[in-house]
Amino acid sequence: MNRRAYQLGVVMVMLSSMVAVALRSFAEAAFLEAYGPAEMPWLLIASAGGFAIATLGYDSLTRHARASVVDLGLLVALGIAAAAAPALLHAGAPPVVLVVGLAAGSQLAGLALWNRVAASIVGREARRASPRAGAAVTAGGAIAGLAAGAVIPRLGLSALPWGGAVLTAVVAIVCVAQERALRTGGAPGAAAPPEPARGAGLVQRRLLVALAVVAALEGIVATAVDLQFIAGVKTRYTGTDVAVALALFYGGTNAILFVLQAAAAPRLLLTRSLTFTAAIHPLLVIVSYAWFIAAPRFVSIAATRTCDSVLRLATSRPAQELALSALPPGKRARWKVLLRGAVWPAGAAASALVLLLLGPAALARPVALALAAAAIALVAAILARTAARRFQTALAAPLGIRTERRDDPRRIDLETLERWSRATGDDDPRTAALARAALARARVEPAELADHLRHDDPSVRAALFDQLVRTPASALRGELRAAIAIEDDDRALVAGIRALAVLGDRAGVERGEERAGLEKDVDDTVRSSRAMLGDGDPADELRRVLATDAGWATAFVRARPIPEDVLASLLISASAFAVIARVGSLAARQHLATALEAGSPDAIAAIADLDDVGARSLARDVGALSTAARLAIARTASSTPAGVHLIEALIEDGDPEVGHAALRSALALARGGVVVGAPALAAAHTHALAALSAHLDADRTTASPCVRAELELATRRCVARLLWATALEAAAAGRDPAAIAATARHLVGGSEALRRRALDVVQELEARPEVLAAIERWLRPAPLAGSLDALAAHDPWLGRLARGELAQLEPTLVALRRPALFSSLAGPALGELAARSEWRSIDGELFRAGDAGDAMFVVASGSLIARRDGEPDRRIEAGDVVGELALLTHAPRAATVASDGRGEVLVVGRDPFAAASRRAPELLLGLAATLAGWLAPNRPDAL
Amino acid sequence: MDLLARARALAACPLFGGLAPAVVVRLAERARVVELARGDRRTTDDDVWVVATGSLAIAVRDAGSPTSRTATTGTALGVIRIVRRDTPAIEVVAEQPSTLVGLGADDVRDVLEEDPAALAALTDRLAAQLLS
Repeated sequence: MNRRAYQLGVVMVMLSSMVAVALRSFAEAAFLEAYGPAEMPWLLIASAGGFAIATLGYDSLTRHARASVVDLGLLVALGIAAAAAPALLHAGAPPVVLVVGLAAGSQLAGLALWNRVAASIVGREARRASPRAGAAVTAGGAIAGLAAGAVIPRLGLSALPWGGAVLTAVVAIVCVAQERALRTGGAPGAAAPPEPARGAGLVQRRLLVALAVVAALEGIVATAVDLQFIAGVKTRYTGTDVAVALALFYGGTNAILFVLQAAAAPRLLLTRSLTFTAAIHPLLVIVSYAWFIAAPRFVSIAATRTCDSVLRLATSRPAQELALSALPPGKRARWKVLLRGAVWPAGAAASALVLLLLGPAALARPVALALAAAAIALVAAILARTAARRFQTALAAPLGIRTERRDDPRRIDLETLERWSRATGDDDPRTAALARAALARARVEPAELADHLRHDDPSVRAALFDQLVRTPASALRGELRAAIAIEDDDRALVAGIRALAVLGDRAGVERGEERAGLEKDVDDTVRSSRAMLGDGDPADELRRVLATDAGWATAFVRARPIPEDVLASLLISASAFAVIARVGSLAARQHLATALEAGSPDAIAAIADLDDVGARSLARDVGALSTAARLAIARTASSTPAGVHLIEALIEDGDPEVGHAALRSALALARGGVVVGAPALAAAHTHALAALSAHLDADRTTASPCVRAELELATRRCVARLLWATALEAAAAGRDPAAIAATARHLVGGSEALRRRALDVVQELEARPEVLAAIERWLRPAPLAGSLDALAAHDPWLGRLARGELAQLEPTLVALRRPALFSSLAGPALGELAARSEWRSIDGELFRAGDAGDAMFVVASGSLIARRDGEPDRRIEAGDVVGELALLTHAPRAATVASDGRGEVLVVGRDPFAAASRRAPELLLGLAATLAGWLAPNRPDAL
Repeated sequence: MDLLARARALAACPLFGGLAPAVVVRLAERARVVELARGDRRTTDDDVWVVATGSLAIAVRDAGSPTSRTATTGTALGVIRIVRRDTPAIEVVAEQPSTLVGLGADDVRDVLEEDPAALAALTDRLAAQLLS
C-alpha cells in the first residue's frame, strides 16, 4: 500500500463527491423546475446517455494519452462548466443540457479519480481500504447534500455550481499531488499481475460478460426505482422544496451509506466470500420492493430507493471492484470505467426508454412496475453470484489451481470385476500382474455378489470368493455354501473354502476333502482351514501359510488367536510385513518399523495395502513406533482409504514432519472422497493454528541468523499445515479441497504477487477469520517478545536449535541451506544430514573425470572450476553443489573439478544422502530437477 | 478406459513400466483420459501425458528452424514437469485419433514420495533418459 497516495486519493475522491452532489442537486432542481413529471424519463435517458457517451469518450482518450493528463483536463473542463452554469441557465440554455453536462462530467471525474485511489492499494489491503475510501466519498456527498439543503434557502440555487467550481479547482491540485505520490512511492494496485495461466483470457472474458450483464440489470432496476421515487417526491413537494427534499434525501442516504462503508463493508469483504457479498444488494432491493408491493406508499418506495442506492455503493460496487481485481491493471481500470460509466447507464437509459414508450401507464400501475423490477433484480442476484464464482475461477487461474473431485476408483461393479478377473489369466504377464494388483485393491459391495457366486466363468467365481475372504459377509453364508457344494474349479474352490472358513464354516473344508489328494492347492487350503477352525497346531500351519499367501495368513490369524509371543516370533522370522501391519503385536510391529526406516518396499507395500480392520489395529500401536517409521506410515497412508485411521492417529503427532506428512496424506485421500473424522479434523486445525502462533510469537531478535532462517522455514511449513487443515475442513463440508490446498504452495513458496492472490483465493474459498488473521500476521510479522521455548512443544528439533543445543551444527546448516536442493528441506531432516556431513578444505583437485563417485559437495567458501573435454570451463561458486550426478546415477565423475585457490566444501556422502532422502523423498526429486535443468532447459518436449 | 486399461497404458510407457504393478495401479487411480480427434490441439499444462493409442505431433522448441517429432503409443509427454514445475507446457496436435492418459504432476510426485523405492526407480529411469 502506498499510504500517502492513498490518503491524498481519499481526499481527492471525497471532494469530488461533494462536487458531484452539489452539481447534481443544482441540475436536477433546474430540470424539475423547468419541466413536468411527464418529462422525467427523458431526464433519465439524457443523463444516462450523456454519461455513457462521456465515458466512451474518456475511454477513447485514455487509450491515446496518459490517464493523469486526461483526468486533469476533465477536472478543468468540469470546473469551468460549473462556474458558467448559472449564467448559461439565465441566458436560456436548456436545463437538460446542464443536467447532462454537469452530471456526466462530475460522475465521470469521480470514476476516473477512483481508479487513482485503487492504484495505491492491493490485495486484502484493498478489501479493507477500498470501502473506507468509499466512505470518504459518501461523507463528501453527505456533507455536500446537507450543506446544500441549508445553503439554497439563504443564497439561492446558483451557490451550488459556484461552490462546485471552487472545489473542483482544489481537487485538481490534490490530483497532481497524488500523481506525484504514486510516481515516487509506487502504485501496487496497478502492478503487473501474476503470470497468467493458459486460457486465462477466456476466464476473464466470461467474468466480464457476467459483470456487464449484472451492471446493465442494476441500471434497469435503479431507473425504475428512481422514477417511482422522484414521481413520489414531485407529488409530495413543490417549488424549491423539491430541491431541498432531494438534497436532504441524498444527504440522509449518504449518511447511512457512510456508516455501512466505514464499519460493515470492510469487515464483510475481509471475512466473507464474494458470492455472499455480491448478492446482498439485489436481494435486499427485492425485499424492500416487496414491502412497496404490499403497501405502495411514499415511505416504502423511499426505502426501496435508499436500499438500492446505499447498497449498490456499499456492497455491489466494492464487489464489482473486487471482481475486477482478477484482471490485469490496464484492463481493470478500463472496464471499471466502462461498466460504471457506459454499461450501467446504458441499462438505465434502456429502462427509461421503455418506460417512456409505456407512457403514464407505467407510473399509473406502480405495483406492476415494482413486480417487473423485482423480477429483474432477482435475475441480477443470480448473475451476481455467477460473476462472483467466475471471479474465483479467474483469481485462481494464474495459480494453476484446478478443481476436480474424483470418485473412489477402488469401488467397482461386477462387470469390471469379471473383466479384471479374466485379465489375471492374460498371456501377457505384465497385464496379469496389473490385474492382480488392481483386484487386490478393488472393493465390490458384498450385497451385489449374492446372485453371482455361481457365475459361469471360474476366474470370476474365484475373484468373488477372494473378495469374501478379504471382506467376510455372514449374510452370504447360505449362497456361498451352495456355490461351493457344486464348485468344480480348483482355483475357485480354494478361494471358496477360505471364504467359508473365515466365517467359521466347515462346509468348504468338507467339499475340499472330496478333492484333496487330487490338487495340492486344495489340499493345502483344506489343511490350513482345518487349523484355522481349531484342528491341530495353528503355529505350524501359520508358518507354512506365511510363506505362501499373506492375505490368507492375515485371515488365519484373525480367525484363530495365537499366543502373542508365538505370533510375534513367527511373523518376525518370516518378515511377513503385510500380516504384521494388519494383525501383528507391538513387538512384531517394531520389526515392521525397522523395515520402514530402511525404506523396504515390502514394508511400504504392507502399509499401502492395509484393509480397514488392519489399519485400525495398526493405528492403536503406531504411536509407539519410531519417528522414521511413523513418517513412512503417515506418507504411505494416502495409498489406501483405510489409511484414514492411521492419519487420524498421526495428524497431531508431536513430530512436525510426521504431522505434516499425515495432513498431506489426508488431503490426498480427501480428493478421493475419504475424509478424516471431525474430532481429528478439529484437533488438526487447532494444532496447526497453535503451532503457527508459537512460531510467529517466537522472539527472533536475539536468535542467531541460522535460528532465524530455520524459524522462518518452519513457520512457512506451519502455514502450509494450517491451510491443509483448512482444506480438509472444506472437504468435510462437501467442498473440493484441492484448490485451497494448492494455495498453500503459492503462499509458502510463491512470489509476492502470487502470495497476495493466494491469500485472496483462500478467503474466497474458505473465509475463516482466524485462519486469514494468522496468515496475514505471518505476511506482516511484527517484532515480538515471545519465548523461543514455546517452540519445543511444536517442533522439538527447532526448540533444541533455539536453545543453543545444536550450536556446533549451525555453520553446517547454514552452508547446506544455500543450494536450492536443500533450501526447503524440513529442519530435522537437514539437521540429520548436517550431523553426518564433513567439512573439507581444498586447495587443488577435488576429483577427476572418470573417478567413481560416492559423495556430492556443497561449496561453502571459495570457488571451483569444472573442466570437461571439448566444453568451456564451468565455475562453481559458493552455495552451489557439485558431484550430485553420481549420487543419482552411480555414474563416474563426468568432469575434473578443482578449486580456484583455497576453499572449503561440505562432503555429503551417499549413505547420509540416501537416509535423508528416505526421510524427505523430495530430495531425490530435487536432484532429478537439477539434472533436468542441465540437460533440457526450456525443452519440455525432451521427454 | 477403466482403471486396468489406464494402468496398462501407463505400464506400456518405459518411464512407468519399471515400477511395481501396485504403484502403477495407484498412479492409474489418479489418472484421467483425454480423447483427441485427428487435428485436435492440446497443451499438457500441469500434466504428464502418456499416449495410450494414436499418434501426436509435438512442436520441438529447439534452436533453429521449427521441427516436430511424433509421439506414439507408450510415449510420455511433459515428464520434466514431475521434477520442474517451471517447465513450459508442450503443445501437441493429434495426427490420428488418439487417447491420452493424463496424470497431474503433483499426483505423480505424491505417489512417488509415498514410496521411496518407486521414486528411486523412476528417478533412475529419468536420469537415464535425460542422459541418453
